[in-house]
Amino acid sequence: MKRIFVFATGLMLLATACKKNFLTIEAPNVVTIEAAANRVGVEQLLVGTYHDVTGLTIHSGWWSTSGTNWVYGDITSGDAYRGGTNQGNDGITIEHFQTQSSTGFLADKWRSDYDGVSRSNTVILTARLAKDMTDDEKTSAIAEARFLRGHFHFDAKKMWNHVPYISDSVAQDAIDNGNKVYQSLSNEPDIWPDIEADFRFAFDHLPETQTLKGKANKWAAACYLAKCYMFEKKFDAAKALLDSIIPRLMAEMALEKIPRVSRTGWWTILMTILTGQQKIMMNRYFRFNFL
Amino acid sequence: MKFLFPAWGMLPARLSASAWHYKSRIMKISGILVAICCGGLQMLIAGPGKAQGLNDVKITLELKNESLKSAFAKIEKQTDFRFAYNRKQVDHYRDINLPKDDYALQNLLDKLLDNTDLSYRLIRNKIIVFQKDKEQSVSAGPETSPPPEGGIKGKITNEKGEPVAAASIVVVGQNNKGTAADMQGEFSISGINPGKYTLRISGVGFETVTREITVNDNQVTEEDFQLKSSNNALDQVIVTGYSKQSKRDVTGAVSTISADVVAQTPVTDVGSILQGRVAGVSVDDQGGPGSMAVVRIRGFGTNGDNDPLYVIDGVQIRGGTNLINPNDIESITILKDPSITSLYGAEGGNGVIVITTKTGKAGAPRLEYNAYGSWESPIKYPKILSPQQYANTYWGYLQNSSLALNDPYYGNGSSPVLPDYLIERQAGAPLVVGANDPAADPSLYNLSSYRILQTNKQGTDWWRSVLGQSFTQSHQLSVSGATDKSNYALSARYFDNKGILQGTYFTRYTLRVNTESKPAKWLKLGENMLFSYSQGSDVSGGNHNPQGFFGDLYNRSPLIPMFDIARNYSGPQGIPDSKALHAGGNNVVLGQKNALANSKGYNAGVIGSGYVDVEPIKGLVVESKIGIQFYPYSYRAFSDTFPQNVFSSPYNSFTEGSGWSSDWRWTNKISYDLRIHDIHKISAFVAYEARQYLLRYSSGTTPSLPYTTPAYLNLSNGAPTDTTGGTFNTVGGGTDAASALSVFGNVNYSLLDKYLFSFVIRRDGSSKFGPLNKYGTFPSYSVGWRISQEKFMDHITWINDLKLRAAVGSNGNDAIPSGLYENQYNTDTYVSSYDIGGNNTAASTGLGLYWIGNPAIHWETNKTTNIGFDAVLFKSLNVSFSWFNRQTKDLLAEPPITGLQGDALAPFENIMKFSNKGVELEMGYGNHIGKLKYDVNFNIATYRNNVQYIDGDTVAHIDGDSYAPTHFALTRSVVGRPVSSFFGFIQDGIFQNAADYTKYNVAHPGLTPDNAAGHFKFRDINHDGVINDNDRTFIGSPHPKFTYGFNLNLTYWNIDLSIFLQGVSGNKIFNYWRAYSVWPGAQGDGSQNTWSSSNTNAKLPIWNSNSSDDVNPSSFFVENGSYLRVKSLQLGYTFPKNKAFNKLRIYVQGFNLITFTKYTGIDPEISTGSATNAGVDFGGNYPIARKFLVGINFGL
Repeated sequence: MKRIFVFATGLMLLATACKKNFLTIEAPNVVTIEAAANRVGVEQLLVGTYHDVTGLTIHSGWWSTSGTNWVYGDITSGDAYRGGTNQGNDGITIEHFQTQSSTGFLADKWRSDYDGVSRSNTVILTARLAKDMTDDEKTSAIAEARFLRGHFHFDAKKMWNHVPYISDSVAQDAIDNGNKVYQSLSNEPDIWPDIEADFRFAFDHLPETQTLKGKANKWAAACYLAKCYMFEKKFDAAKALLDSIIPRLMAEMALEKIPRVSRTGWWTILMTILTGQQKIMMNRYFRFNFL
Repeated sequence: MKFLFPAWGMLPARLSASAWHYKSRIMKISGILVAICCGGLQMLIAGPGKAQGLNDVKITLELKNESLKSAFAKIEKQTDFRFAYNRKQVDHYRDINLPKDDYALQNLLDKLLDNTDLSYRLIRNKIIVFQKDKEQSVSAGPETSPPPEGGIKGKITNEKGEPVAAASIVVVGQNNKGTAADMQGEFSISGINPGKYTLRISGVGFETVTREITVNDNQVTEEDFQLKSSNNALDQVIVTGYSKQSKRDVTGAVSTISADVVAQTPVTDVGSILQGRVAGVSVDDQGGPGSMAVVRIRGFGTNGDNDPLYVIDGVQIRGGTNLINPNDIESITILKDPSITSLYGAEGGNGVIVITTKTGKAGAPRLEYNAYGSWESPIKYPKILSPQQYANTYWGYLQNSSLALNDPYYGNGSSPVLPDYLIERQAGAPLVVGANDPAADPSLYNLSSYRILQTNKQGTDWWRSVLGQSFTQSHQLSVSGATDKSNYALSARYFDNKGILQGTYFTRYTLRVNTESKPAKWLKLGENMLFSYSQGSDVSGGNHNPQGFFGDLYNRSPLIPMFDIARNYSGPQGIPDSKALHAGGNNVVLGQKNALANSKGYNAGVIGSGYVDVEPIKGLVVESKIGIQFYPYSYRAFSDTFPQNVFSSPYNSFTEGSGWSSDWRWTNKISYDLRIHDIHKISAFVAYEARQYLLRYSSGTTPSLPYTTPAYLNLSNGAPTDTTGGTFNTVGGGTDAASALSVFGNVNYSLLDKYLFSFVIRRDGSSKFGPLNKYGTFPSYSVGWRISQEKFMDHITWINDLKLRAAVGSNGNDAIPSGLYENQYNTDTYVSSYDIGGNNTAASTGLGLYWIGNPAIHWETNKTTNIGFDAVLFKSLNVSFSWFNRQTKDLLAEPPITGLQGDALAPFENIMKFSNKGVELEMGYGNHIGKLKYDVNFNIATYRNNVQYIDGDTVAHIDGDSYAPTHFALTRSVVGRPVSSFFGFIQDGIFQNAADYTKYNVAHPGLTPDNAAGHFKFRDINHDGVINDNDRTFIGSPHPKFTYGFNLNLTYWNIDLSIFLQGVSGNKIFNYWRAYSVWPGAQGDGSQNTWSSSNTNAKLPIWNSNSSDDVNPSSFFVENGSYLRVKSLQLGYTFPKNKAFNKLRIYVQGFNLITFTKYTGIDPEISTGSATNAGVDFGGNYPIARKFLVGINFGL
């Protein structure tokens, strides 16, 4: 009988033996940031951030968060007609300038922009952790992320003016201290300088060319920086920068470095060439909505 | 004073109070030690051989007029023997003279006690002196020859003649000499001296019997007893899963349901059995074959999973309660307060439902057959407008909107004319033609492009075309038996549940095997195992799915016939859904037939446990138990392509998926029971438990299968053609896992059966929380006082038993998805991939934040205080009352996040505090009037839910979901109100005319023209002159004021009748179902009662082109949800027992018979599954059926 008692106690100890890792279970179906803190992971996080330029997010589709802003630009300007009689539709509410605090489209749009910001910050924080990347690779990835972070903040600034700026240090703070960090942010300060700093960093650190066509390079950053100057009314700085961009682009086109491109490709190129004022003109005449 | 054996187990205080004392102080102390150490063991038995010692001892003694006491003292001086005696009995023996001599001690004692009424007995070194005529059994001196002995034997049975195992038989006054009946109910007591005795027979759940019997010399007296089952609820055994206790000793709030009640409730799911039976347990039936009911104990305790924990034969299970066979259930115990639920730690927070299945009973093997057939039909068919009524209403719409009375369907007259034929074409508007139009020539018919429908002017009743009577049957065969060494119970059941939605079904085969064996006295092995296989087919539905199947039924014009002229199902393809004609989605009947024929789910399940009990020392049990749940499942669905379907796909597709989940837990437990002379009862255990849950699933879809015969349909037979046109194979899958480790213990202590104490502590570790927050500790303390056992209560004869009890304790909750203490990233193509290479071929995989983690999440805790009493009054009135205060803090919720955090799913946070306070009362009374036996049970309970705190830094309120046609959330949880209170506008009638509107408009210039005459007048709550979002307020609570149940059983001769009523009172229902069914422009009967200048008393607002605001959530939709339901009425007849069978009973029963309610929806019993959408009715539920049954119970 004693033996059985010992056996039973042994069983219990056996159960205890597996204790160490027993309560550690990886989140199912997903990865945590540790798994992405390497060259491949950072690259994929960047792709995920580029995705947000389209505006297609979990909560919404091509309407409220579309990267073209057609609801907020084209519909409100009269370039597009929403159509339909469904009174409850947010598109119609916006068309009629009856927007309320409960108009869901605006919340979607805000969320979509800041999702891009959040993803950009994740790239920055993760690239710093990656062990298999050189410092140059890290800087390049961070520069791309800052370009995108600038883009999303720019979009939000353009929509609402008073918006907070989320830096990677805020994002790190939220990871360490919980999400309440976000409640303490103010939307009072003007964030143009922060946006400008992002594009400036991108301009300074991005390579001249990227092997993948979809990626931002130094000159994409230059264009956006110029656009940013324009919005900031720093026309001299904008002029100087644009003067250095335009000949270069013309030269590149002349050298046919830019091969035959699709229609949307052309718009992309145009987008990078045109000034804000030109874009407004283009918007008006060609019903296209540039950034 | 009557002689008693020395009370070895008495406390020191009691010892000194007694007239008894031990001569030696050392002895006294050792006696106490013995009592404390070994009180439970029978150490007081003196073997006859011991007496030898007395003859071996010689002493020299002389007594001169000395007392007996001094004689004893002198003997003690010379020997190691010590005397124990009652002074009163000994004091009067004085003046004893004895010549000086050497005496053998035994002779000496015999001499001394000769001529006295004293005798003695040697136990170890103690000589116990006692009054002999008072205690026959021990009067035998060691020297005398053994007296003639007799015995008693007999058999103990219950009212049905079945043996009562373990009944206790006590010979009153013989030091409570007694025994327990064996598995056959038989007992024997030997070694009883001739004489008259009183025998007391008692058994758990039975009334105690006492009887005088005479025992003769060398004869065994035979006496059988039949015990009557007790009406005293305190005799019930409470099984907590980890231990068993008599209800008498329980210090918490528990309720039990017996097998008889289970037998009266012909339902699929265990949860449904509880409805109305137990105070404080609310149940909402879900309807539909094989569905599981929603069970809530004491309201909502948490934001997430509010389901109680089910424990089946000691195995905690989650879900799968529809696999348990109700006929296998021996008893259900509902543990409501923390004194016991703390044992379940993290999982017990929502209450615990403990189910014990039947085991074999002693006696000849028994065979039982139980079966019923049930005819089921919908309780209510919604009434739909006739096509003409609808068209007239539509004409009103045109007039109200100042539109021309002209419509392709209805002509251009002053009143609409129904068309004769509609012709669906794949492209273009439908042709609407008259009876003799050449376009309706049948020869033109073509299923794929020219479908001719002859309109149904009487109206197609889509409800009746899919709902109807169905037949359900259940057959169960069981065999069970037991011997002293083992018992077994086997049962097999076939259950075929056809749904009232024609074609839905749930068929289940179950096999249960319960066995237990005792190879040795100290060893017990056993298992309880359930194997189940079920298959079924159902439609998509669910309350919160207005676009689901039942929602669609409202959405389809009655003008459209079921079939076209070629007897093919009509489809609305080609008929656009418009205000004039609600074509709706795909033909529901066609969709249903296709889905039900080709979509099936298969589920298997193994639920069970195996255990080994070792009892190395009496009272000490070491148990190791492994509980498993294993659920493999698979499903398949074929979606055919029909040209008449609106969402007709150009190719068919077949989906098949499967998965499994397993959940094992291993419990090792050491328990110890100690009973010291019926004064101290201690039972305690410590246990260690590990649990792991795993889930894995996968599925695939393939398109364009060239053949559609069922046997051909599989994933390899699709014909995917390209990657861009949509006809490609897709695969999917996923996994989940969680684990937990727990250490826990429990001590129950009962003093004199009057004062009860219980302490439970459990420490749980959960994989759901981060490294710093994994563990939580949940203690509980409870006390009970059986005040009726006190002397001062003796004169109150009408109180037979009264126990006061109080408990404080806590439970945890970790019912959130795994891994949320850190950020989760995924590679979802839809939200993360991007064509970064610009190749226009395939997008690159991206990684994005999917779910925001929160490293700070920790255990949600609910702390309950429970005070109550259990009483038996007037012999058979059982009353049980509880007051409780259940406080949930650190409630885990997913509050909305600021938009700054992006688009990922919101993190869980511990942000809320809830309280649920309430009282519960259960009463039962049983008696008889002549031959009429009756028993009545009544229960009533109430709770008040209140949100006490929401972390204001994060969010001020938690909103429920919003559903079209409004974008407002329908419920809101905010501090100071019940969770999930309805939130919306207050509707103050309808604007009756322009003046009414203008007057209002002057005060509220912000009103839009939508609020003109005929529209709802919403109240300006904040008096800012504008009616907008900020004018919403709280407009009702989904929580009932009280819930109740009433049960009456009558038995007269062989006839039995039972009635069961159940109800809910004081709750509100947000009947948003009306926005789909009875609303301007909808098709339910009543939709035509819209406001117009000629119908100013209308309930509904005007229907015109500006009708969007009226449908916003408002008090208009809030209705009284109270109901009283005649749940069950059963009439049975039991044939007299005879040689052919032991039992034969047939019965008829009605179930869900009558419902009294003012609620206008389909049924007031709506799912309260989610805390944040409680009480909102979308009418999408599978309707609850009314059943008529015929059944038989047969036993050999």
